[in-house]
Amino acid sequence: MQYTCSKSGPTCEVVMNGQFIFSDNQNFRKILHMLDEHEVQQLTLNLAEVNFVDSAALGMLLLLRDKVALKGINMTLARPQGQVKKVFAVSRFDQLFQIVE
Amino acid sequence: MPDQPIIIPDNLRGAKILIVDDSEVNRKLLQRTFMAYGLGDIREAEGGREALELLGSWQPDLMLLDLMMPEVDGEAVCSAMQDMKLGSPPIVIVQTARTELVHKRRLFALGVTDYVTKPLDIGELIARSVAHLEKRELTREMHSYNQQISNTIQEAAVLQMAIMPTLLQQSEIESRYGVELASHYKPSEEMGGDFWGLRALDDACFAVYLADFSGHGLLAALNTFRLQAMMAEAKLDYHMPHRLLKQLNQRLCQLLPPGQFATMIYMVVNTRERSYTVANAGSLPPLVIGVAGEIYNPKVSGLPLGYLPNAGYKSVTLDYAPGDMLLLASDGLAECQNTGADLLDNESLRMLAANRLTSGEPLAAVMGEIVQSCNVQAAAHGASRVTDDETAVLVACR
Repeated sequence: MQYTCSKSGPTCEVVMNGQFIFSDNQNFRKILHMLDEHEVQQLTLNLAEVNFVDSAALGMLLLLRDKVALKGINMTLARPQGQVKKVFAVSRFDQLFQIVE
Repeated sequence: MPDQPIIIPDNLRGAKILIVDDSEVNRKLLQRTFMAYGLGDIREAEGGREALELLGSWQPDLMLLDLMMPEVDGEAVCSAMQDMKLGSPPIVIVQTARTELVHKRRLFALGVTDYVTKPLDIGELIARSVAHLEKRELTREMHSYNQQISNTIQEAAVLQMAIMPTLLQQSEIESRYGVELASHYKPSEEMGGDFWGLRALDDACFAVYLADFSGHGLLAALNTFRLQAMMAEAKLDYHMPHRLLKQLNQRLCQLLPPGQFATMIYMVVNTRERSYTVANAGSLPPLVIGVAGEIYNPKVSGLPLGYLPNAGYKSVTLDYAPGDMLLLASDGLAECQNTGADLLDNESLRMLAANRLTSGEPLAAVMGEIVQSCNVQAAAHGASRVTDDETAVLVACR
Protein backbone atom coordinates (compact mmCIF):
# COMPACT_ATOMS: atom_id res chain seq x y z
CA MET A 1 0.00 0.00 0.00
CA GLN A 2 1.14 3.52 -0.74
CA TYR A 3 -0.46 6.63 0.58
CA THR A 4 -0.34 10.36 0.32
CA CYS A 5 -1.54 12.67 2.96
CA SER A 6 -2.83 16.19 2.36
CA LYS A 7 -3.80 18.60 5.09
CA SER A 8 -5.66 21.82 4.89
CA GLY A 9 -6.32 23.33 8.28
CA PRO A 10 -7.97 20.79 10.54
CA THR A 11 -8.99 18.61 7.59
CA CYS A 12 -6.82 15.73 6.48
CA GLU A 13 -7.26 13.41 3.55
CA VAL A 14 -5.23 10.22 3.24
CA VAL A 15 -5.35 8.75 -0.25
CA MET A 16 -4.34 5.09 -0.22
CA ASN A 17 -3.66 2.81 -3.12
CA GLY A 18 -2.79 -0.80 -3.89
CA GLN A 19 -3.28 -3.65 -1.45
CA PHE A 20 -3.85 -2.79 2.17
CA ILE A 21 -2.59 -5.86 4.04
CA PHE A 22 -0.79 -7.29 7.08
CA SER A 23 2.62 -6.00 5.94
CA ASP A 24 1.37 -2.39 5.85
CA ASN A 25 1.48 -2.28 9.62
CA GLN A 26 4.40 0.15 9.74
CA ASN A 27 2.88 2.43 7.13
CA PHE A 28 -0.35 2.51 9.01
CA ARG A 29 1.39 3.34 12.27
CA LYS A 30 2.71 6.46 10.57
CA ILE A 31 -0.84 7.52 9.85
CA LEU A 32 -1.80 6.91 13.47
CA HIS A 33 1.26 8.84 14.59
CA MET A 34 0.38 11.73 12.32
CA LEU A 35 -2.86 12.17 14.27
CA ASP A 36 -0.81 12.72 17.43
CA GLU A 37 1.38 15.33 15.85
CA HIS A 38 -1.20 17.42 14.07
CA GLU A 39 -4.45 18.93 15.14
CA VAL A 40 -6.95 17.09 12.94
CA GLN A 41 -10.71 17.40 13.25
CA GLN A 42 -11.84 15.71 10.06
CA LEU A 43 -10.02 12.67 8.67
CA THR A 44 -10.93 11.11 5.34
CA LEU A 45 -9.41 7.84 4.13
CA ASN A 46 -9.85 7.79 0.41
CA LEU A 47 -9.98 4.12 -0.59
CA ALA A 48 -10.95 4.51 -4.25
CA GLU A 49 -7.61 3.11 -5.40
CA VAL A 50 -7.35 0.31 -2.84
CA ASN A 51 -8.09 -2.98 -4.58
CA PHE A 52 -7.67 -5.41 -1.69
CA VAL A 53 -7.93 -5.44 2.09
CA ASP A 54 -7.15 -8.46 4.26
CA SER A 55 -8.30 -9.16 7.79
CA ALA A 56 -5.25 -7.46 9.27
CA ALA A 57 -6.15 -4.27 7.41
CA LEU A 58 -9.64 -4.38 8.88
CA GLY A 59 -7.97 -4.72 12.27
CA MET A 60 -5.91 -1.60 11.59
CA LEU A 61 -9.04 0.32 10.61
CA LEU A 62 -10.63 -0.74 13.89
CA LEU A 63 -7.57 0.51 15.78
CA LEU A 64 -7.86 3.78 13.91
CA ARG A 65 -11.53 3.98 14.80
CA ASP A 66 -10.65 3.66 18.50
CA LYS A 67 -7.99 6.30 18.16
CA VAL A 68 -10.12 8.91 16.42
CA ALA A 69 -12.96 8.29 18.87
CA LEU A 70 -10.56 9.00 21.70
CA LYS A 71 -9.38 12.21 20.07
CA GLY A 72 -12.84 13.34 19.01
CA ILE A 73 -11.90 13.28 15.33
CA ASN A 74 -14.60 12.79 12.74
CA MET A 75 -13.57 10.07 10.32
CA THR A 76 -14.89 9.04 6.93
CA LEU A 77 -14.00 6.06 4.76
CA ALA A 78 -14.48 7.29 1.23
CA ARG A 79 -15.28 5.45 -1.98
CA PRO A 80 -14.46 1.80 -1.25
CA GLN A 81 -14.55 -0.25 -4.45
CA GLY A 82 -14.75 -3.90 -5.47
CA GLN A 83 -13.47 -6.36 -2.89
CA VAL A 84 -13.04 -3.60 -0.29
CA LYS A 85 -16.66 -2.58 -0.65
CA LYS A 86 -17.75 -6.21 -0.44
CA VAL A 87 -15.70 -6.89 2.69
CA PHE A 88 -17.07 -3.75 4.35
CA ALA A 89 -20.56 -4.98 3.52
CA VAL A 90 -20.20 -8.51 4.90
CA SER A 91 -18.42 -7.16 7.98
CA ARG A 92 -21.11 -4.51 8.47
CA PHE A 93 -18.51 -1.78 8.68
CA ASP A 94 -21.33 0.65 7.94
CA GLN A 95 -22.32 0.14 11.58
CA LEU A 96 -18.91 1.29 12.75
CA PHE A 97 -17.76 3.82 10.20
CA GLN A 98 -19.15 6.64 8.22
CA ILE A 99 -18.74 5.29 4.69
CA VAL A 100 -19.19 7.63 1.76
CA GLU A 101 -19.65 6.28 -1.75
CA MET B 1 52.09 -13.87 28.72
CA PRO B 2 50.07 -11.02 27.27
CA ASP B 3 50.39 -7.43 28.39
CA GLN B 4 46.59 -7.02 28.25
CA PRO B 5 44.80 -10.10 29.52
CA ILE B 6 42.24 -11.57 27.12
CA ILE B 7 39.25 -13.08 28.85
CA ILE B 8 38.23 -16.41 27.39
CA PRO B 9 34.50 -17.02 27.83
CA ASP B 10 33.74 -20.31 29.61
CA ASN B 11 31.76 -21.72 26.71
CA LEU B 12 34.86 -21.53 24.46
CA ARG B 13 37.15 -23.49 26.77
CA GLY B 14 36.21 -26.79 25.19
CA ALA B 15 36.75 -25.51 21.63
CA LYS B 16 38.66 -28.01 19.49
CA ILE B 17 41.73 -26.43 17.95
CA LEU B 18 43.89 -28.04 15.29
CA ILE B 19 47.41 -26.70 14.83
CA VAL B 20 48.88 -27.52 11.44
CA ASP B 21 52.59 -26.76 11.08
CA ASP B 22 55.55 -28.77 9.81
CA SER B 23 57.82 -27.27 12.47
CA GLU B 24 57.57 -29.08 15.76
CA VAL B 25 58.97 -26.09 17.66
CA ASN B 26 56.22 -23.87 16.28
CA ARG B 27 53.52 -26.42 17.06
CA LYS B 28 54.64 -26.77 20.68
CA LEU B 29 54.89 -23.01 21.07
CA LEU B 30 51.37 -22.48 19.72
CA GLN B 31 49.98 -25.32 21.79
CA ARG B 32 51.46 -23.92 24.99
CA THR B 33 50.14 -20.48 24.12
CA PHE B 34 46.57 -21.67 23.61
CA MET B 35 46.78 -23.75 26.77
CA ALA B 36 48.07 -20.80 28.74
CA TYR B 37 44.85 -19.01 27.80
CA GLY B 38 42.76 -21.94 28.93
CA LEU B 39 41.92 -23.25 25.49
CA GLY B 40 42.79 -26.85 26.18
CA ASP B 41 41.43 -29.24 23.55
CA ILE B 42 44.27 -29.07 21.07
CA ARG B 43 45.63 -31.48 18.49
CA GLU B 44 48.54 -31.18 16.13
CA ALA B 45 49.17 -32.16 12.54
CA GLU B 46 52.63 -32.00 11.07
CA GLY B 47 51.45 -31.91 7.48
CA GLY B 48 48.49 -31.35 5.17
CA ARG B 49 47.61 -35.01 4.87
CA GLU B 50 47.25 -35.52 8.62
CA ALA B 51 45.32 -32.26 8.86
CA LEU B 52 42.76 -33.46 6.31
CA GLU B 53 42.35 -36.73 8.19
CA LEU B 54 41.65 -34.92 11.44
CA LEU B 55 39.27 -32.49 9.73
CA GLY B 56 37.14 -35.48 8.80
CA SER B 57 37.46 -37.58 11.94
CA TRP B 58 37.86 -35.03 14.73
CA GLN B 59 35.98 -32.06 13.26
CA PRO B 60 37.82 -29.18 14.93
CA ASP B 61 36.22 -25.79 15.56
CA LEU B 62 39.32 -23.88 14.55
CA MET B 63 42.28 -24.77 12.40
CA LEU B 64 45.45 -22.72 12.65
CA LEU B 65 47.15 -23.44 9.36
CA ASP B 66 50.69 -22.86 8.20
CA LEU B 67 50.82 -22.24 4.46
CA MET B 68 54.34 -23.36 3.62
CA MET B 69 54.57 -27.07 4.18
CA PRO B 70 56.20 -29.85 2.15
CA GLU B 71 53.92 -32.20 0.12
CA VAL B 72 50.36 -31.06 0.86
CA ASP B 73 50.66 -27.35 1.65
CA GLY B 74 48.16 -24.98 3.32
CA GLU B 75 46.39 -23.93 0.14
CA ALA B 76 45.97 -27.57 -0.89
CA VAL B 77 44.41 -28.29 2.53
CA CYS B 78 41.94 -25.45 1.98
CA SER B 79 40.83 -26.61 -1.45
CA ALA B 80 40.58 -30.23 -0.34
CA MET B 81 38.51 -29.11 2.66
CA GLN B 82 36.06 -27.33 0.36
CA ASP B 83 35.59 -30.59 -1.54
CA MET B 84 35.00 -32.51 1.70
CA LYS B 85 31.68 -30.68 2.20
CA LEU B 86 31.99 -30.81 5.96
CA GLY B 87 28.72 -30.34 7.83
CA SER B 88 30.29 -27.76 10.09
CA PRO B 89 33.60 -26.61 8.58
CA PRO B 90 36.11 -25.11 11.02
CA ILE B 91 37.27 -21.54 11.27
CA VAL B 92 40.50 -21.42 9.29
CA ILE B 93 43.20 -18.96 10.35
CA VAL B 94 46.33 -19.10 8.23
CA GLN B 95 49.76 -17.94 9.15
CA THR B 96 51.40 -16.24 6.25
CA ALA B 97 54.54 -14.23 5.67
CA ARG B 98 53.06 -12.57 2.58
CA THR B 99 51.04 -9.42 2.88
CA GLU B 100 50.14 -8.60 -0.76
CA LEU B 101 46.47 -8.00 -1.36
CA VAL B 102 46.28 -10.49 -4.24
CA HIS B 103 47.60 -13.21 -2.00
CA LYS B 104 45.09 -12.44 0.76
CA ARG B 105 42.19 -12.38 -1.68
CA ARG B 106 43.24 -15.78 -2.97
CA LEU B 107 43.17 -17.14 0.57
CA PHE B 108 39.67 -15.84 1.23
CA ALA B 109 38.49 -17.36 -2.04
CA LEU B 110 39.79 -20.70 -0.74
CA GLY B 111 37.50 -20.44 2.29
CA VAL B 112 40.01 -19.05 4.76
CA THR B 113 38.33 -17.13 7.58
CA ASP B 114 41.22 -14.92 8.61
CA TYR B 115 44.98 -14.65 8.55
CA VAL B 116 47.81 -13.62 10.85
CA THR B 117 51.12 -12.44 9.47
CA LYS B 118 54.48 -13.75 10.50
CA PRO B 119 56.26 -13.05 12.73
CA LEU B 120 53.28 -13.95 14.87
CA ASP B 121 51.94 -11.63 17.50
CA ILE B 122 50.49 -13.99 20.09
CA GLY B 123 48.04 -11.43 21.47
CA GLU B 124 46.64 -10.83 17.99
CA LEU B 125 46.37 -14.54 17.25
CA ILE B 126 44.47 -15.24 20.47
CA ALA B 127 42.20 -12.22 20.06
CA ARG B 128 41.28 -13.22 16.50
CA SER B 129 40.77 -16.85 17.47
CA VAL B 130 38.50 -15.90 20.35
CA ALA B 131 36.49 -13.47 18.21
CA HIS B 132 35.87 -16.09 15.55
CA LEU B 133 35.11 -18.83 18.05
CA GLU B 134 32.60 -16.59 19.79
CA LYS B 135 30.87 -15.82 16.53
CA ARG B 136 30.76 -19.49 15.65
CA GLU B 137 29.33 -20.36 19.03
CA LEU B 138 26.65 -17.70 18.69
CA THR B 139 25.73 -18.95 15.24
CA ARG B 140 25.54 -22.48 16.59
CA GLU B 141 23.33 -21.40 19.47
CA MET B 142 21.09 -19.51 17.08
CA HIS B 143 20.78 -22.53 14.80
CA SER B 144 19.96 -24.78 17.70
CA TYR B 145 17.41 -22.27 18.99
CA ASN B 146 15.82 -21.99 15.56
CA GLN B 147 15.69 -25.75 15.35
CA GLN B 148 14.05 -25.96 18.73
CA ILE B 149 11.45 -23.32 17.79
CA SER B 150 10.80 -25.01 14.50
CA ASN B 151 10.28 -28.37 16.22
CA THR B 152 7.91 -26.79 18.73
CA ILE B 153 5.92 -25.12 15.98
CA GLN B 154 5.67 -28.39 14.11
CA GLU B 155 4.33 -30.08 17.22
CA ALA B 156 1.89 -27.22 17.73
CA ALA B 157 0.78 -27.51 14.11
CA VAL B 158 -0.06 -31.16 14.73
CA LEU B 159 -2.05 -30.08 17.80
CA GLN B 160 -3.87 -27.51 15.72
CA MET B 161 -4.81 -30.09 13.12
CA ALA B 162 -6.25 -32.13 15.96
CA ILE B 163 -8.73 -29.41 16.96
CA MET B 164 -10.34 -29.64 13.56
CA PRO B 165 -12.64 -32.51 12.59
CA THR B 166 -10.84 -35.73 11.78
CA LEU B 167 -11.91 -37.83 8.81
CA LEU B 168 -13.54 -40.20 11.28
CA GLN B 169 -15.60 -37.40 12.85
CA GLN B 170 -16.54 -36.23 9.37
CA SER B 171 -17.70 -39.67 8.36
CA GLU B 172 -19.74 -40.00 11.58
CA ILE B 173 -21.63 -36.83 10.63
CA GLU B 174 -21.98 -38.11 7.08
CA SER B 175 -23.54 -41.39 8.06
CA ARG B 176 -25.71 -39.97 10.83
CA TYR B 177 -27.21 -37.19 8.71
CA GLY B 178 -27.00 -38.67 5.25
CA VAL B 179 -24.83 -35.89 3.85
CA GLU B 180 -21.45 -35.85 2.20
CA LEU B 181 -18.61 -33.65 3.49
CA ALA B 182 -15.29 -32.52 2.12
CA SER B 183 -12.79 -30.01 3.42
CA HIS B 184 -9.66 -28.16 2.46
CA TYR B 185 -7.21 -26.65 4.95
CA LYS B 186 -3.91 -25.07 4.01
CA PRO B 187 -2.25 -22.55 6.34
CA SER B 188 0.08 -20.03 4.73
CA GLU B 189 2.73 -20.70 7.39
CA GLU B 190 3.21 -23.77 9.58
CA MET B 191 0.19 -22.67 11.55
CA GLY B 192 -2.74 -20.56 10.52
CA GLY B 193 -5.56 -18.44 11.89
CA ASP B 194 -8.30 -20.40 10.17
CA PHE B 195 -10.37 -22.94 12.02
CA TRP B 196 -13.39 -25.01 11.07
CA GLY B 197 -15.60 -27.43 12.90
CA LEU B 198 -18.62 -29.69 12.98
CA ARG B 199 -21.08 -30.38 15.74
CA ALA B 200 -23.90 -32.91 15.94
CA LEU B 201 -26.92 -31.18 17.50
CA ASP B 202 -29.85 -33.62 17.41
CA ASP B 203 -31.27 -36.29 15.12
CA ALA B 204 -32.07 -33.81 12.38
CA CYS B 205 -29.52 -31.02 12.76
CA PHE B 206 -25.79 -30.55 12.75
CA ALA B 207 -23.70 -27.40 12.69
CA VAL B 208 -20.77 -26.55 10.47
CA TYR B 209 -18.67 -23.45 10.98
CA LEU B 210 -15.57 -21.68 9.79
CA ALA B 211 -13.62 -18.93 11.55
CA ASP B 212 -10.68 -16.82 10.49
CA PHE B 213 -8.64 -14.79 12.95
CA SER B 214 -7.15 -11.55 11.73
CA GLY B 215 -3.54 -11.79 10.62
CA HIS B 216 -1.91 -15.18 10.24
CA GLY B 217 0.90 -17.25 11.68
CA LEU B 218 1.47 -18.12 15.30
CA LEU B 219 -0.50 -15.33 16.95
CA ALA B 220 -3.62 -16.00 14.91
CA ALA B 221 -3.13 -19.74 15.45
CA LEU B 222 -3.13 -19.35 19.24
CA ASN B 223 -6.50 -17.66 18.98
CA THR B 224 -7.95 -20.65 17.14
CA PHE B 225 -7.26 -22.73 20.26
CA ARG B 226 -9.15 -20.20 22.37
CA LEU B 227 -12.13 -20.34 20.07
CA GLN B 228 -12.07 -24.12 19.93
CA ALA B 229 -12.06 -24.26 23.74
CA MET B 230 -15.00 -21.86 23.85
CA MET B 231 -16.93 -23.86 21.30
CA ALA B 232 -16.27 -27.05 23.24
CA GLU B 233 -16.73 -25.95 26.83
CA ALA B 234 -18.97 -22.96 27.00
CA LYS B 235 -22.73 -23.38 27.08
CA LEU B 236 -23.76 -21.78 23.83
CA ASP B 237 -26.92 -21.69 21.78
CA TYR B 238 -25.62 -24.11 19.20
CA HIS B 239 -29.01 -24.38 17.48
CA MET B 240 -29.30 -20.64 16.91
CA PRO B 241 -26.50 -19.23 14.81
CA HIS B 242 -27.15 -15.55 15.60
CA ARG B 243 -27.27 -16.15 19.33
CA LEU B 244 -24.16 -18.29 19.23
CA LEU B 245 -22.22 -15.58 17.39
CA LYS B 246 -23.42 -12.99 19.87
CA GLN B 247 -22.21 -15.14 22.77
CA LEU B 248 -18.84 -15.80 21.15
CA ASN B 249 -18.48 -12.11 20.34
CA GLN B 250 -19.03 -11.11 23.96
CA ARG B 251 -16.43 -13.61 25.13
CA LEU B 252 -13.89 -12.70 22.47
CA CYS B 253 -14.32 -8.98 23.20
CA GLN B 254 -13.00 -9.70 26.68
CA LEU B 255 -10.08 -11.75 25.43
CA LEU B 256 -8.74 -10.20 22.25
CA PRO B 257 -6.47 -7.15 22.33
CA PRO B 258 -7.40 -4.14 20.16
CA GLY B 259 -6.89 -4.76 16.47
CA GLN B 260 -7.39 -8.52 16.69
CA PHE B 261 -10.70 -10.09 15.76
CA ALA B 262 -12.21 -13.09 14.08
CA THR B 263 -14.60 -13.52 11.24
CA MET B 264 -16.90 -16.49 11.51
CA ILE B 265 -19.71 -18.15 9.66
CA TYR B 266 -21.94 -20.59 11.52
CA MET B 267 -24.53 -22.73 9.82
CA VAL B 268 -27.04 -25.24 11.14
CA VAL B 269 -28.16 -27.77 8.57
CA ASN B 270 -31.58 -29.29 9.26
CA THR B 271 -31.75 -32.50 7.27
CA ARG B 272 -35.37 -33.24 8.21
CA GLU B 273 -36.72 -29.93 6.98
CA ARG B 274 -34.12 -29.63 4.22
CA SER B 275 -33.11 -26.16 5.34
CA TYR B 276 -30.10 -24.38 6.65
CA THR B 277 -29.88 -21.49 9.07
CA VAL B 278 -26.85 -19.30 8.86
CA ALA B 279 -25.42 -16.27 10.65
CA ASN B 280 -22.31 -14.40 9.66
CA ALA B 281 -19.72 -12.33 11.50
CA GLY B 282 -17.75 -10.76 8.69
CA SER B 283 -16.98 -13.96 6.77
CA LEU B 284 -17.73 -14.57 3.16
CA PRO B 285 -21.39 -15.66 2.97
CA PRO B 286 -21.94 -19.32 2.12
CA LEU B 287 -22.22 -20.25 -1.49
CA VAL B 288 -25.01 -22.55 -2.53
CA ILE B 289 -24.26 -24.55 -5.66
CA GLY B 290 -27.63 -25.84 -6.80
CA VAL B 291 -28.02 -29.27 -8.29
CA ALA B 292 -29.31 -27.67 -11.50
CA GLY B 293 -26.28 -25.41 -11.68
CA GLU B 294 -27.74 -22.28 -10.10
CA ILE B 295 -25.37 -20.42 -7.80
CA TYR B 296 -26.77 -18.55 -4.86
CA ASN B 297 -25.17 -16.34 -2.23
CA PRO B 298 -27.46 -15.86 0.78
CA LYS B 299 -27.14 -12.27 1.94
CA VAL B 300 -25.89 -12.61 5.49
CA SER B 301 -23.51 -10.18 7.12
CA GLY B 302 -22.43 -9.05 10.56
CA LEU B 303 -19.63 -7.41 12.50
CA PRO B 304 -16.47 -9.47 13.06
CA LEU B 305 -16.18 -11.09 16.48
CA GLY B 306 -14.18 -9.49 19.24
CA TYR B 307 -14.56 -5.80 18.55
CA LEU B 308 -17.90 -4.42 19.67
CA PRO B 309 -19.30 -6.13 22.81
CA ASN B 310 -22.92 -5.27 22.06
CA ALA B 311 -22.88 -6.28 18.39
CA GLY B 312 -25.96 -8.16 17.25
CA TYR B 313 -26.28 -10.83 14.57
CA LYS B 314 -29.07 -12.16 12.38
CA SER B 315 -29.90 -15.67 11.26
CA VAL B 316 -31.32 -16.43 7.86
CA THR B 317 -33.11 -19.71 7.14
CA LEU B 318 -33.34 -21.03 3.60
CA ASP B 319 -34.38 -24.29 2.01
CA TYR B 320 -32.13 -26.54 0.02
CA ALA B 321 -32.92 -29.17 -2.60
CA PRO B 322 -31.48 -32.69 -2.59
CA GLY B 323 -28.12 -32.60 -4.32
CA ASP B 324 -27.39 -28.96 -3.48
CA MET B 325 -23.88 -28.22 -2.25
CA LEU B 326 -23.16 -25.66 0.48
CA LEU B 327 -19.71 -24.15 0.43
CA LEU B 328 -18.06 -22.24 3.27
CA ALA B 329 -14.73 -20.74 2.29
CA SER B 330 -12.21 -18.40 3.90
CA ASP B 331 -11.17 -15.26 2.01
CA GLY B 332 -7.69 -16.76 1.62
CA LEU B 333 -9.12 -19.30 -0.79
CA ALA B 334 -11.81 -17.26 -2.47
CA GLU B 335 -10.23 -13.86 -2.97
CA CYS B 336 -7.33 -12.72 -5.07
CA GLN B 337 -4.87 -10.64 -3.11
CA ASN B 338 -3.49 -8.81 -6.13
CA THR B 339 -6.71 -7.54 -7.55
CA GLY B 340 -9.37 -8.35 -4.99
CA ALA B 341 -11.12 -10.41 -7.65
CA ASP B 342 -13.52 -13.16 -6.63
CA LEU B 343 -11.84 -16.45 -7.44
CA LEU B 344 -14.91 -18.61 -6.96
CA ASP B 345 -15.98 -18.22 -10.50
CA ASN B 346 -19.66 -19.04 -11.04
CA GLU B 347 -19.14 -20.60 -14.44
CA SER B 348 -16.54 -23.06 -13.14
CA LEU B 349 -18.77 -23.93 -10.17
CA ARG B 350 -21.71 -24.55 -12.49
CA MET B 351 -19.60 -26.90 -14.57
CA LEU B 352 -18.42 -28.73 -11.46
CA ALA B 353 -22.02 -29.18 -10.33
CA ALA B 354 -23.12 -30.47 -13.73
CA ASN B 355 -20.15 -32.78 -13.89
CA ARG B 356 -20.87 -34.26 -10.46
CA LEU B 357 -24.48 -34.82 -11.44
CA THR B 358 -23.49 -36.96 -14.42
CA SER B 359 -20.36 -38.64 -13.08
CA GLY B 360 -21.34 -38.93 -9.42
CA GLU B 361 -17.76 -38.24 -8.44
CA PRO B 362 -16.95 -38.12 -4.71
CA LEU B 363 -17.27 -34.76 -2.98
CA ALA B 364 -13.59 -34.69 -2.08
CA ALA B 365 -12.82 -34.61 -5.80
CA VAL B 366 -15.20 -31.68 -6.25
CA MET B 367 -13.48 -29.87 -3.37
CA GLY B 368 -10.14 -30.50 -5.04
CA GLU B 369 -11.45 -29.08 -8.30
CA ILE B 370 -12.79 -25.98 -6.57
CA VAL B 371 -9.39 -25.35 -4.98
CA GLN B 372 -7.71 -26.00 -8.30
CA SER B 373 -10.08 -23.63 -10.07
CA CYS B 374 -9.32 -20.87 -7.52
CA ASN B 375 -5.60 -21.44 -8.04
CA VAL B 376 -5.98 -21.17 -11.80
CA GLN B 377 -8.00 -17.98 -11.46
CA ALA B 378 -5.42 -16.54 -9.03
CA ALA B 379 -2.60 -17.36 -11.42
CA ALA B 380 -4.52 -15.63 -14.20
CA HIS B 381 -4.51 -12.52 -12.00
CA GLY B 382 -0.80 -12.96 -11.38
CA ALA B 383 -1.23 -13.69 -7.67
CA SER B 384 0.82 -16.14 -5.64
CA ARG B 385 -1.19 -18.30 -3.28
CA VAL B 386 0.93 -18.40 -0.17
CA THR B 387 -0.10 -15.20 1.53
CA ASP B 388 -3.17 -16.23 3.47
CA ASP B 389 -4.63 -19.31 5.10
CA GLU B 390 -7.03 -21.26 2.90
CA THR B 391 -9.92 -23.17 4.35
CA ALA B 392 -13.12 -24.49 2.82
CA VAL B 393 -15.84 -26.92 3.79
CA LEU B 394 -18.28 -28.39 1.33
CA VAL B 395 -21.53 -30.08 2.34
CA ALA B 396 -23.57 -32.03 -0.20
CA CYS B 397 -27.17 -32.49 0.90
CA ARG B 398 -29.53 -35.30 0.07
